[in-house]
Amino acid sequence: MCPALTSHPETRACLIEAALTCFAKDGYDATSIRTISSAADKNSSLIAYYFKNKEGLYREVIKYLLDRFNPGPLRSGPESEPADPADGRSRLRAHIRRLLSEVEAHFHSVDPLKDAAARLFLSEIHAPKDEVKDLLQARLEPSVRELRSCIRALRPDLSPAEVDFWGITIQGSCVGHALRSEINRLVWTEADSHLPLDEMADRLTDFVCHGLMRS
Amino acid sequence: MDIQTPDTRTALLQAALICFADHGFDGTSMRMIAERAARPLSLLSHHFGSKEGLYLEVFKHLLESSGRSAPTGEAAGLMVRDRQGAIRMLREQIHSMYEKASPEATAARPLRDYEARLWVQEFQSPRPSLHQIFRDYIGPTVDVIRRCITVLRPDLTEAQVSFIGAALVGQVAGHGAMAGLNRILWGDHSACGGRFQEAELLVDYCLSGLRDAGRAEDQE
Repeated sequence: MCPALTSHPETRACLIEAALTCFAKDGYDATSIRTISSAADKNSSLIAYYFKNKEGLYREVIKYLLDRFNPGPLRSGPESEPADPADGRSRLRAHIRRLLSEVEAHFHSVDPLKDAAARLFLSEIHAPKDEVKDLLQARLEPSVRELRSCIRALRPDLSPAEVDFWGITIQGSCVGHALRSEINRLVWTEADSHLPLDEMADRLTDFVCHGLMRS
Repeated sequence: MDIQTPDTRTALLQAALICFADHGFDGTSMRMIAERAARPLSLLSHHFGSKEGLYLEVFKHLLESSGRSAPTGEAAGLMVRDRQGAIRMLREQIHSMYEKASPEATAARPLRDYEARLWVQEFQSPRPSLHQIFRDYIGPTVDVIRRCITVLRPDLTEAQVSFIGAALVGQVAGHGAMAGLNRILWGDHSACGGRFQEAELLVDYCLSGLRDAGRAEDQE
């Protein structure tokens, strides 16, 4: 085989999946090119060929994850700002539903790579690496923008700092759930079943809107 | 004697934390930990028995040193009898969660990076031997919050209370727990005043969210 002449998509994917598993298992620092190539059962020179180095490979792993667990384009709604508070509320509900379902896709799917993926996501949420900051930002920026416009529509009187404070709060209520989903299951919901997605979105939107309108 | 020098037990636990965080449970051996702590292997076995036992102790230590104490939570839950009690207790819980998750509070912990990495390993599918510890240490706080929500919103089913409760914890703790990502996504501003005022804002927000979400007669 001569990697310099032909590019094999399967080889590339195989290296990315092996890297994903290694990074998730041992952490970024403890993972070496050698570990990954032997996990993938490929020659380590292929990693240099496809990804240049460990940083390059890590970036591709994160990109791959963001695509694989992405349930579709982030924003189906209009690009414009919500017209009025009622519009803000319905856009907010749609967005909360969307965040909850995205989080479900990440953490509750039956994908065989889900555990490894969740672990990497968790460590990026906790302490994002410089190598992938731009990827995370590009991917999540539309969500931040939408949350900000919805909050502004509901509470035009808030300062930008206040808007962001509540945006982070809402984001936390959707994502925080999944962050500790397994532990939550142990301590919160062992006895009862999961609520359906639409009911979760309704409950949370009610909570958020009433909370926002009073504060 | 320098107060920074930890006692033997703490030194062993810290060495174990570092090894488990770096190499995972399977990749860590008792010998590795003993070497890291520069203490004899026999001492390690004497204090903790097996690797499994040591792992549990590391987590207990983590939970205890981050200020989760079982007994007070349980006693507190019993005090929540009426709306006023529930509001008081919820305010207390929100303040304490917000404080504990704050970047300042975590920055004060020298081994925080290792702690975070170890947590990440158990967040997704905690090994069964840890389940009881999580229930013991996190359960009481959860029960208090569940109780507060139930008192404030008797109309909700258990599943709904659990969902709202977990969302409430997420929105309060998410400020700190997701601080790294938040800084990238939302920018780096000095938010809305001091930590205390921010926690107060969250208290009002949560109480309004809970109070109004249901029927009109819930309003006061």
